[in-house]
Amino acid sequence: MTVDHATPSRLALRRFVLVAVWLPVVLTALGVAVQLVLLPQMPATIAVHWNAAGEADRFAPAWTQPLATIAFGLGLPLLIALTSLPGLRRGERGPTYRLMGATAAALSALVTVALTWTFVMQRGLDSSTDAPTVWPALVAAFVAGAIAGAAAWFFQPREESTDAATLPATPLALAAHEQVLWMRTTSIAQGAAIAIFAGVLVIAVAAAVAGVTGADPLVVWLLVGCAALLLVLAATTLAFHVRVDDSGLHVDSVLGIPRFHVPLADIESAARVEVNPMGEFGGWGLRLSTGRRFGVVLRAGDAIEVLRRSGKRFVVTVDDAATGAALLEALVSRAASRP
Amino acid sequence: MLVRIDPESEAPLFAQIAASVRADAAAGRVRPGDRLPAARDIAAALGVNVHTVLHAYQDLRDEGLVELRRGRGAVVTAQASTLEDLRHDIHDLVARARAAGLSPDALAALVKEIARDR
Repeated sequence: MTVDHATPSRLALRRFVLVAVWLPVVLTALGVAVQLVLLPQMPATIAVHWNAAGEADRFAPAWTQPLATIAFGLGLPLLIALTSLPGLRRGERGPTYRLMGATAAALSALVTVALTWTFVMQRGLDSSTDAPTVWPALVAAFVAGAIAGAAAWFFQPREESTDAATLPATPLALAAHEQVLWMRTTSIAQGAAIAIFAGVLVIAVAAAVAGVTGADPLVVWLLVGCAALLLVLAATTLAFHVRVDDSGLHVDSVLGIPRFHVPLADIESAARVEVNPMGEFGGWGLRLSTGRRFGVVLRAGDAIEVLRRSGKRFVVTVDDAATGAALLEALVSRAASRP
Repeated sequence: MLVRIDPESEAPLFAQIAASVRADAAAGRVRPGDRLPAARDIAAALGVNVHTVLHAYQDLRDEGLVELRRGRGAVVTAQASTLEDLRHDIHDLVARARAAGLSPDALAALVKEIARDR
């Protein structure tokens, strides 16, 4: 009997859909049903936020709770599922997809239990200011999240990463004394850059508003700190110069820092790969992934992947990656053939 | 972009660098509107003088393949797509010449000669 290794199992895809789509749908439906049944017994406004001492400090109309449950308990898992499904459909497999499925299930359980429990515990109250402490609900939510996450992890089959079988690039033809250089600038999509800076701007405006309205100085400074940190992180990872020469692979931020260098002597092989940021790295930016893989992931698609002699892998998304990988392969084999 | 130079070749380094950029354009590795790397970065990575790279960029500007602007560096012009369009014809020509036992150098000389006649 032969086993067709080229066809990735349908089981992984089916079970991912079960834990990342159908489980959140069922959990959210149950939570919302309970909330709707109890809605007539609720005070007009209920507590929706508790301070660090566990006392209610923010309130909203009772009918907003089922909506919030759908938005977060179902919306967040679906967001994860939608970003992972294209890769799974293409036949990609691996522990990152398994983790994404488990995260979607855990998030759904956590949000649904937290919102439903805090809703149920306020039924029959005259005023939401009497709302009891939040701790039992919080503990229950985290326990439910952990159980759902672990169950979803073990329910999905264990699959090796499909990218493990990446073939090294065909080396570029190189003369013995020829000096060769490949350079390319890689940057994130303009839309993503605008979204990031809009986010920073929102936090900065929030800090300014908080400062003007006389909020706690700690809050103001926290917001200012967040905005500054985000700005620095975003600005340094917007664009990188990628360079291949006889010293190896260099990936330097356009602003100078951070810089990454894989020396030629450390390189086992180089390949052009297709990167799916969400499925393989769980997002964009400077990313660690499973399989001892580190990536400078600015967009989906073409990327150079370098396998180090230590077994670690370094990935950078860049256009014309095939040429860069072919040059690295040629430089590595030329260096190896020299006495 | 891919730059290759052979210090043992008879062609001057600046001409080899310019030829590399032309080949990049023909292969579609650089496209109209792309900004070429700064001359000093290329010089540092290849271990050549920065003036050698600038010399190559100036020749390419005279040919019309790049525009040199202060503060913006070397920007590739629309001529790059013309070179890319020519690539298939050149491949065919080289293949036919090779099949007939004609070396690329002889073919290049012939192309130059015929272009001058017309």
